[in-house]
Amino acid sequence: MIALTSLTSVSSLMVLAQASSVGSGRLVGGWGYVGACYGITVAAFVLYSVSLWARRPRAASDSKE
Amino acid sequence: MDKFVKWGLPALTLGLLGWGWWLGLAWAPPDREMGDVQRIMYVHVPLQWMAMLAMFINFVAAVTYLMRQSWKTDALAESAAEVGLLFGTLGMITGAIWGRPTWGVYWSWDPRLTSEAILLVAYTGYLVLRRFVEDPEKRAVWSAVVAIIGAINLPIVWFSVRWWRSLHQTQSSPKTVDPQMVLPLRVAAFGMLALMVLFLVHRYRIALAERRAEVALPEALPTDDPALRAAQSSKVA
Amino acid sequence: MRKTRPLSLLKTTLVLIRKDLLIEWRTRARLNALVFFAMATLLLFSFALGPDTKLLERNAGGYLWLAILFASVLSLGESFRVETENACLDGVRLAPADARAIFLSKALGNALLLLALGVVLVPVMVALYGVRIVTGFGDLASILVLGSLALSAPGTVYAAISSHARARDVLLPLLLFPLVIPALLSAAKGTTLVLQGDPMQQLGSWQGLLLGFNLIYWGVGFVLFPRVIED
Repeated sequence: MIALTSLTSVSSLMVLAQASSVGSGRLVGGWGYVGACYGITVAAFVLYSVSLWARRPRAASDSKE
Repeated sequence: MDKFVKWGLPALTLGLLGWGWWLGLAWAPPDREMGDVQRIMYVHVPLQWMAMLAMFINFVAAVTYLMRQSWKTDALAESAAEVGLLFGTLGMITGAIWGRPTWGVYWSWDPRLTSEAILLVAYTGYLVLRRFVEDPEKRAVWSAVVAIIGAINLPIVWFSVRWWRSLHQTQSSPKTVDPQMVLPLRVAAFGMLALMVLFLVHRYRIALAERRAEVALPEALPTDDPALRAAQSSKVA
Repeated sequence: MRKTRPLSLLKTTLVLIRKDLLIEWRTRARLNALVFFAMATLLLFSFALGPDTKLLERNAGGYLWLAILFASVLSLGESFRVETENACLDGVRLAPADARAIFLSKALGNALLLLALGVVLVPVMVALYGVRIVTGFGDLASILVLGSLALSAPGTVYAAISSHARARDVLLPLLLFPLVIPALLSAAKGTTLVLQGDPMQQLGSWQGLLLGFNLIYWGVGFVLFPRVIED
């Protein structure tokens, strides 16, 4: 059910893609910024997955925090 | 369903995200103006979309809870808020990093970034409130009220901040996106969607288990099991 | 939901406001403390920013509203602490008073308190920051009234929630500050326009924003508050 509503919402959110890049000026390079963005995001996802795994139900009674 | 969540969804997430980001980082052309920095879009924009979607799920769950009490919608609201906060924070960080080479500063008081920062503070408050109220039923009602008020606030904040800024500087105009950038963006967005659903499902299970543990006495609260609820009401009558 | 005639709702509200104001008047300590707290805040802004009178003059509207906002957190928290102390709120509800009347009375009472505070603070601000009221007292009064109302409607809902939670002193500002940013922003902008002149006729749009904010949150509070204090 969640997935279904999500899918329909995403297609309506797609419209917003047009508005999401801003700025002007010519830029060369900048891979460092790109790397930082992807790196931070992946690292945060991994950390969150670990926290979800640590809090998983039916583990130990100390799983809450 | 259980098997899909355990194996299919993670595989789907990794596959779509890996494909989308490969397309975005290697296949798509660099932007005419922003060059390679523009490739941040393929992580930033899906993050923002999923944050919005999670906040929307939180709002719907909160409204549903107030109309009909159920631990399921309460748990869903809690998990959507936490996942939305994660995605929104990452979206804001990537946006700020993107802003450094584009605008020259990390933080430009752009209405979108500013409203999002306010939104994230509001949802942090929501999660803190949930921590600080012990009674699970009160916690559910109060946090639902806070979630609804916070969601109503979002458009007001957006308009007021835009208004406030527009007296100082012109809005940055939206520009068209190259068709070769649409495919990676779309794939990455679906990958991000799969990841969000994955997080949401697992967080939801944790929240529901916590609720169940908190209300160990089944008659204390309306349950989601119809048979149990019928038994309960007959007992009351 | 129970059906209540509008008239009896109004009557209950008035009775409850009178009760709150009477308690307020009997002690008076709270109002005095609030006034001095807000004055100290205004004074501290000038110390924190150094003796740059130009800067103080330009931002006077913002400082005034920050002082009122900080004071409002204290007064809102206090107004429900009074009730929870002896479980008075339960008593009022059992009277039986409509929960919506409780909301209206609490929010209006707080708005009155903030308005009084604002009236006291304006001369202090004029003296401390060396500003002049350019566009007239009517404009300033409208901003003060609308701003006090805008802070107290959502503030009442959140104060009722946080008064029962742990760490309520941290929780109330954490919940309230992000929410009232539009109100704070437009009240501060409006006050600045009143103090510095309004050549581009922008004051009306900020008043409109405040009015809209009020309409939305008085409505939302009216509908949702009964759920907050129910058992």
